[in-house]
Amino acid sequence: MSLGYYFLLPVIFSFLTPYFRKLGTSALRGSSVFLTFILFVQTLEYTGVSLPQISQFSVAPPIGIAFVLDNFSLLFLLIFTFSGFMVSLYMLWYFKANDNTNETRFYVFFNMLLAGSIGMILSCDIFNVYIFFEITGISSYALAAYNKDKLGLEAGIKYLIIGSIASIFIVFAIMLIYLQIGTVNIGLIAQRYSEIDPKIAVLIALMLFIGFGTKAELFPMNFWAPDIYQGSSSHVNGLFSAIVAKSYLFVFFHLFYLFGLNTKYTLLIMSLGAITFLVSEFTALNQKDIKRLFAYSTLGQLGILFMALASNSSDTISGALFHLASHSISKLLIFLVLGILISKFKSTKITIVGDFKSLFLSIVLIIGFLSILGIPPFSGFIGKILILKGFALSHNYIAIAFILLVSIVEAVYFFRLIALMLDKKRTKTSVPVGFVNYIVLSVLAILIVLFGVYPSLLTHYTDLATNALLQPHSYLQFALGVGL
Amino acid sequence: MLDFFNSNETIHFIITVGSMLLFTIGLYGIFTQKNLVKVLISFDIMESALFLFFIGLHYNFGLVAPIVDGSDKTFTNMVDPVPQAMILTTIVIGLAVLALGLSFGIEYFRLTGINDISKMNELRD
Repeated sequence: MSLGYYFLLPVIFSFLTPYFRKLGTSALRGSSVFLTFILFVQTLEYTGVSLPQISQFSVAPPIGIAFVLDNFSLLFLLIFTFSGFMVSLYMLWYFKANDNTNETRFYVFFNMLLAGSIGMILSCDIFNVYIFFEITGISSYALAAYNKDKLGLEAGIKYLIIGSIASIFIVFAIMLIYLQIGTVNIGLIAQRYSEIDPKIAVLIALMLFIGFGTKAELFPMNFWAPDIYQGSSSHVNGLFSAIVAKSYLFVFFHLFYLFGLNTKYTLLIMSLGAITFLVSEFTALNQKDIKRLFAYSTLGQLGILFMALASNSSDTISGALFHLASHSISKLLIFLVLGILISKFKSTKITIVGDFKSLFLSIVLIIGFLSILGIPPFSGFIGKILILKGFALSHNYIAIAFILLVSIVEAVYFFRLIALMLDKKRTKTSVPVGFVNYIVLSVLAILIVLFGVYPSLLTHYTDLATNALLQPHSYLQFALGVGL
Repeated sequence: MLDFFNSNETIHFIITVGSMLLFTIGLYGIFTQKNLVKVLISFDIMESALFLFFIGLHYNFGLVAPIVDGSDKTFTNMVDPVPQAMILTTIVIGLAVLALGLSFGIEYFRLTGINDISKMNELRD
């Protein structure tokens, strides 16, 4: 299958959604499950193929446009297609148990979101990256507001305004690059980035930093994120946390290493990541809204990822990629369980985690909490320990002390939630889970435990991805179209 | 005397200064305006400034539009068509975002009667 289908199939399904709706609700929901399943299985097949792979459209690069899949993007592709598959299965239950008047609108933008975020990580043309950036952006604004309720629309408007500012800066950066080098191919830009006038190069780096940093929720441009998470539905938050934020993070660090910005700005990005981590974990302590609490928790974890991914050392980056995959799975699990609780109690107060009675939900929710917190034997522990090991090998003891100290703050609110959940004095209401949710949530929970017990299942891919990121020689060959 | 205006340097200088002024006006609008529609208009002003800047800097005197009509097979003396294609795409994207933003604004106004972005503060700590 050509890599182009990764973009084409979701777009075609997105445009066909109204027709599927005419065939009936089960056709509509089934089509989304079918699409994400195909994409996930196809991605699994790519794990056994020699990479990078290229699909060119009409003319060979660097003149034409192409999709390139290397080991670094493969890891993200696995996470995105898997999360998409899990969410589409979950939606089978969600729209049966809840009001489904806005169902068609959700599926249109859900498929479009997959198309945009997958296109963004595959494209090797910076202008196409911008187009996919906007496709992802527009579908996530629409997903935030798809219920057309007061809070959702407010979140949508805020997200749209912030997103437009970010996209203007990215267009500006692309224009400056084109004025200086006369190309938009990422391979050519990477080769000739050092030829750019140093003052303009700083300006370009700043604009790219503002544009992608805003969307990837890096301090000080992340003030908007908690509002968006609070206003949107819980399953949409799962998508934002597992797919959208990660795709912007991918582009941020892909360009960071390809353009050789890591030689100058490592310390800056690492300290901004550390501030993100510190500020969000402390703000999370006194949140009353459960979605907002986990928005701050997401920001904190992204802070660790920024610290570790910018660190220039292969051990730390490999650990960070492990942590990234583990965080995607755990946050998806938490947000999907919260979706079940919120649709039962019609409230987003923090106390709803103490009000439900369901052994299964309690177990998977506690697995998710402990994994984010980094308690063995769950995958979050391996992620954090690998990051700390990487920092230790590069003698960065300040970062180790910092992560460990701030993790104590994180432990405070997670154990407060667990204590609330186990509190026998609260009146508990039993919550119906739904057959499909037993499958989805247990698959996610089993994966968390499995990666915690056998980390080598995932470290194999993260090591390959780290090599692809730090030694992009073969990626550049393909992006430049050498030997095609 | 008017030949002064026919040089590439002058026209590029005017375009750069003018579009950056327009960009600043848009940026000022985003941070000072309260009405959602005015904020969205400010975005459009900023985007237009970028388009003018980019297209303008790729124009030199003596070049013609990049249209192949069969008479000229050498493709010399033509403006670079890539920036224009890029700008067309960006205009379409900008229009999509503007339409989505206005529709959000209309729906929100129907629900609450508010179009002032400083009063949209239900979501907070």
